[in-house]
Amino acid sequence: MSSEAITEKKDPDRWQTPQEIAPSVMRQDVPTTARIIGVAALVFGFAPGLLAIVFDKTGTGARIPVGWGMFMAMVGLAGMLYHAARDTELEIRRAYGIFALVWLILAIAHAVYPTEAGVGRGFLPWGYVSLLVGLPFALVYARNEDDPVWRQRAIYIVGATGVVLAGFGLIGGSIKADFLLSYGLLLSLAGLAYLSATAGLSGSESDIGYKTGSLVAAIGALVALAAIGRSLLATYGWLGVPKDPRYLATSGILLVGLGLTYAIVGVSLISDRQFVVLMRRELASFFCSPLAYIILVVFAVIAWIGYAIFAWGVSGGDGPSQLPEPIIYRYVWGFIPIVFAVLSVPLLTMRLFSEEKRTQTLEVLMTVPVEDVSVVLSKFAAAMIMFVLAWLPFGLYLIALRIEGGTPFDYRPLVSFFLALLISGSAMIAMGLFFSSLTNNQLASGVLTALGMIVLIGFHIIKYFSVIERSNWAPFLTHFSFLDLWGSALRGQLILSEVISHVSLAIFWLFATVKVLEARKWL
Amino acid sequence: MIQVDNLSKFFGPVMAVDHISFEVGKGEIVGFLGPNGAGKTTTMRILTSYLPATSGIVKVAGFDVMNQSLDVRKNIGYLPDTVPLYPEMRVEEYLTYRAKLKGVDRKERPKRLETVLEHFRVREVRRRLIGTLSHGYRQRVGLADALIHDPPILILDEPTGGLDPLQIRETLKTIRNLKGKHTILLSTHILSQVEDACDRVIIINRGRIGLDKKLDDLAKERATFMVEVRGPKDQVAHVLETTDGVDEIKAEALSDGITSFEVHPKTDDDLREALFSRIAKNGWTIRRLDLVRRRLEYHFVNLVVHDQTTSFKPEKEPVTEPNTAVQAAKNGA
Repeated sequence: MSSEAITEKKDPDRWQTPQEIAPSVMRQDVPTTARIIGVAALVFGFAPGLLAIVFDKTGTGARIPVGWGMFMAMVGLAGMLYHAARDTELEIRRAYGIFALVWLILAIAHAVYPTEAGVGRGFLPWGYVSLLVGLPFALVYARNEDDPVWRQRAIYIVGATGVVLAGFGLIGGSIKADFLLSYGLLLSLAGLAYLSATAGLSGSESDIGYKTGSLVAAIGALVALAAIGRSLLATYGWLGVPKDPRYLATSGILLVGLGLTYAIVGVSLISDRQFVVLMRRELASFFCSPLAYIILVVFAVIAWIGYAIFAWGVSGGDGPSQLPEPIIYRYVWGFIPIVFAVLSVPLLTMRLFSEEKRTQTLEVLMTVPVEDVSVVLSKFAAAMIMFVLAWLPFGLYLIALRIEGGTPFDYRPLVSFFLALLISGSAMIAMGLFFSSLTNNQLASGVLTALGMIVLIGFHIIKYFSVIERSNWAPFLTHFSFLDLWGSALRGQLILSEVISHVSLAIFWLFATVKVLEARKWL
Repeated sequence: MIQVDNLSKFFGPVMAVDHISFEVGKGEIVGFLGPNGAGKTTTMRILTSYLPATSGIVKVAGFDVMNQSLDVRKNIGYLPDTVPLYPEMRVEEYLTYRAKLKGVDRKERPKRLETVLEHFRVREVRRRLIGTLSHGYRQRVGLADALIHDPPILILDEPTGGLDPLQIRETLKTIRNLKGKHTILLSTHILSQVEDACDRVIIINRGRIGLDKKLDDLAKERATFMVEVRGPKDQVAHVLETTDGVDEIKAEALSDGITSFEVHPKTDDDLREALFSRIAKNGWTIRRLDLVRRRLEYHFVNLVVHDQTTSFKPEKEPVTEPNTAVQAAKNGA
C-alpha cells in the first residue's frame, strides 16, 4: 500500500567474502583417449618404423620396406606428440622430457661422430631429423611441466641448443660459402626455431624470454649488415677486397635473407607494438582451429605429389645427371597447385573480420587505443605468413633434391617464384580481407573471395578469347593476372609492370578495408 | 570527466538517444538506469567512441570522442553488455594480450595481471580456456579486462549481468572500492544495485533523461510515517492530525480494528517519538511505527509509467493498466 519501508540498511561490507574456489569440483583428469593413442602410436607406429630404419641402415634386412618404416615412424611420432601434449601426469611428462633429450643427444652424437668423410659429415640427414623431432617434444614438455625448476632447466637446454645451432649456422655460413648452402642454412633455421621456442615458452614478460628475443633480433641484424657490407665490398672490389661478383648472388642474398628473418622473428617475439601484438594473436588463432593444420598438411602433400611426379619424370628421362632447366617451372607449374592456391586464399581470409564481427569482439578491439590501420595490417600480415608457410614445402623439397641429387641446379627461379608468390599473394589476401570486413558471415566472405579469385584467373584466360583480345581492356586486365606473374617468375624473370600492378592492387584492397572499418563512424 | 552535451543518435529513422546532457565528475560512481531499449548501451557506445553521435558534443577525460578518439580510448576501460571474449584463449593469455594492447608496460604487466585476477576473483580459472568458462566467470574476466590498464574512467554496461547473488555483492563491493580513484559509469536495470554502489543516478527513458540526482539528495526527500494503531479510527486520526508538525494524514482500515495511517510531516523533523507518546497517552496500542522514504524504485516506475501514459494517452485512454507497484507508488505519493 505504500512504498517500502527502510529496514536496517544491509551493510555489504560486513559480509564475509568466502575463500575463492574453483567453479567446479576438479577431479584428476585421466586422458584415456590420449593414452590409448600414445601407446598405439608407440607400439604400432614408432617402434616398428624405427626398427625398420635401423635394420635397413645396419644392413640386417627388414621385413618392412624402409620407406614404409619412415612413414610409420612419422605417424607414430605424431601420435606420441599428441599424447605428450595431453597427458600431464608426472611420470609420463618427464618420460617425454627425457625422450626429447634423447633426440638432442642423438643429434649431437651425429654431429661429432667421425665417419669416413670426416667429423660431422653424418649429421645430415639423421642428426638434423633428430633435432627437428626433439624440439616439439621439448616444447610440449616445458609447457606441461609445473615444477618451475625443471621447467627452467628445459627452457635453458632448448635455449642453449638454439644458441649453438644459430652460432654454427650463421658464423660458419658467413665464413664459408660452401658451408652456407644446406648446412649453414638448415642449422640457422633450426637454431631460429629453438630460440623462438625459448622466447615463446618464457613469454616476453620474463627476463630470459625478453633477452632471447632481443638476442635473436640483434644477431639477425648483425648478420644481415655484415652480409650487405661484404657483398658491396666483393661486388665493387673496395678496400682491396678481391672482386667476386658471385658472392652477392648466392651467399650474400641468402645471408641477408637469413639475417632479416632472424631480426623480424626476434622483434615479433618480444615487441609490444600493437601491430605485432595483434599479429601474434591472429597467428595463434589460426593454429587454434583445425583449418591451419589442414591447409598446411594439404599443401605439403600437394608439394610432395608434385615433387614425386617431377622426380619420376626427371630420373626417367635423361638421367639425374642432367636436370632440365629451369627445373622449377616444370616442378610447380600445374593444375593442382593453382586450384589449391585459389582455394586456400578464401579459407585463410574468410574468418579474419567476419568472425570478430559475429562474436562482437570487434567492439572490445576497437575500443582500445589502436589505429584502424594497425588492425587491418596485422590481420593481413598474419594471413600472409600462413600463406607463405603453406607454400614453404615446395621450397623445402628442392633443398632435399639438392642434397640427395648432389647436382646443383639453377635455384634463382625459385627465389623469383617466391617473390612473385609474395606479391600476388598479398593482392589476393588483401582482397579476401576486404570481403571479410564486409560481412559478419564467414561463408559469405569466403564465397565472395573465391569468386574474386576466379575473376583473377579469368584475367589470364582472357588472352585466349579473340573477341576480348581486340579490345583495349585485354592488355590492361592481363596485368592483374597472377598466373602470368607466376609463369614468368618460374622462368626466372619478374616483370616490373606486373609487380607494380599487383602491389597496387594489394594496397587498394587494404585501403578499402580500412575505410570499411572506418565506415561505422560515418552513420 | 565525462561531459555529454545535447547528444542525440538516430539509427536510420529510429531515435535511440534524444538530446541528452549530463556530466560525470571525477571520482563519481554514477548508475545509468533505464528500461530495456532506453538508449543506455547506445550512449555508452558513443562515450567509448565506438559509435558516432548524430549530433551533440561528447567529451571524455577532456577529449572529444569524435576527433580525439585514441586519447579517449586510452583513458577508458569498457565492458560491453555482451562481454565478447576470444574463446580459444586462456584467461591469463587473454588478459596479458589485452594489457599489451592497451600499452601496459612490460614490467608492470605481471603485477597488473595479479591485481585484477585478485580483484575479480578469477585466479582459480586463470589457466582455463575462456570458451569453457561459465557466464559469471566470463563476466568477471571482462571486468578484469576493463580494469587491467588502470584507466581513470570505467564504462561498464551491465557489469553484474549473469552473476549469482554472492558474485553480484562481491562485484559491487569491488566497484565501490574503486571509488575515488576511478570515475565509473555503470548501467543496470537492477535498482538495488544502484542504491548499493552508486553516488548518483541517471534514469534514462525513451532516449531522454528523466532523473539525474545524487542518491543522498534522494534520501533527503521528505519522509512519511507509517503508523498502525488499534483503536477508534476517527479519534486516532484526530489525535494524529493535531500533533505538532503534521501536515496531513491518510487513513485506511485494516482487519480486526487496526487502522493504518500515513502521516505526512510539514518539516524534516522526525515525528516518531511525538506520535508514539500521543497515541500511548490515549491508551491505544501501536502495531507499527516507522519512517518511510521513497526509494529509487518509486522514481523509476513513476518516470517510466508516467512517460508511457502521457505519450500514449492521445490515442487510447486505458492503454496501460497500472500494476500493483504503480498503485502502491501512487498511494504513497
